[in-house]
Amino acid sequence: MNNEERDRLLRLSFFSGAIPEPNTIVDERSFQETGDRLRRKFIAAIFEQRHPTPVKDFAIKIPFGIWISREREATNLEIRELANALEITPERLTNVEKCSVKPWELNAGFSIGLMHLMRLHFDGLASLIRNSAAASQMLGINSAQARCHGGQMNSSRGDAVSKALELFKANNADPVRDQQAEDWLNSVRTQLLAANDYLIH
Amino acid sequence: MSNEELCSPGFIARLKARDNQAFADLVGFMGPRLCSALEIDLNLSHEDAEDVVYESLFKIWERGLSFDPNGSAKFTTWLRTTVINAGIDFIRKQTIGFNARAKVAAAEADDSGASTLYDTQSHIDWIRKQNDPAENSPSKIVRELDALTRILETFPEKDRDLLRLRLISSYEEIARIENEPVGRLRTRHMRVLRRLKEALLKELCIYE
Repeated sequence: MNNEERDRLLRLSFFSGAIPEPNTIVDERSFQETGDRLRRKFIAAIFEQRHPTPVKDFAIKIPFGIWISREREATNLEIRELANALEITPERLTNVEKCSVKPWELNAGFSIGLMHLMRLHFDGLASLIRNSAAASQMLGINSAQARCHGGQMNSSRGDAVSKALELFKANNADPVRDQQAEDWLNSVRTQLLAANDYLIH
Repeated sequence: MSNEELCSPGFIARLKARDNQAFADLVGFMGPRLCSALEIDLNLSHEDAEDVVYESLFKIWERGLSFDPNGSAKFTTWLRTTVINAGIDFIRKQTIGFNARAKVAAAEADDSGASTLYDTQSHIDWIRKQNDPAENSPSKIVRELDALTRILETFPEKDRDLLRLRLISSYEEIARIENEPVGRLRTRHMRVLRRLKEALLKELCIYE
């Protein structure tokens, strides 16, 4: 007697004449929660294998959103999958990746979750945030970006151009000190120190 | 995702190529189902079942999928067997630890401690028999249904209700109906299932 047959027998004993359909027996909410938890654990393990030690520095000046996008593509994960692991909507993650959301406008707690999942050290985060801040203050590029989107491009080509421009800006902008970004980094640092988190040591 | 998609040659090829997204989909879809199988078949707690399922699927990802699509088994059957075997290993390890601790405690108390030792091998043999297709002829199922009905009559009403409710409701829902904490309810359900298995074991004289 295998598991399904035993359950069928139990249903026959209890519900003779009125056997519930197998599909109604599934505890949907608990199934969903277990599935999401297991998925998150798996995604974390993928990044742990990719970066056995947390990432501290980068070969090029890369903004926060582009780094996330590249990491996701390198691990061959879809936006919905990473968004689910980070517990945000896919639309929100798309905006983060496209740099349409400034990282320091994100919740510090969310960023710490992201650092743990994607194995990003605080030094690495600080470097990405400063690159993003420098890129966001570079003038004269946004209009070019707007022209690209208004032309014959489809959305994926538009996104690719947008990401390439962000990377270009990060690599060519002069270093700047953005007070908002620095304040945000300080709040992340404080939270990590308070938790004696390994990502700051 | 559906069972058909999961067993499709395209999806299996993606798993064989170690496609992370395909594995994530597999984990998300099959993970909870395999956990349920471990909870019901092996009486594991939900937390232990989740650990066993995760470790098994992660090992498959690390080592590469060894499933042969041209073989006789369906992919889901192969997966279930792999995870059940991992569950059996888990029980064996747990029991070895439990028995070792029981022996130490018994030695300290100057007692043989024999009655406290859990007979893992009998339990595992019984589980293996349960999963053997040769053991599942129609006449056997009829005999088992008779035995099951007889056994259930001897169970307290409260336990019968729990078994019945669990077939159609979540632990959370039953907890609300019974006004009982979910953890305690889950444990009680596992114990009732275990008693049911033991009673079935005796009734059907599987070891004869």
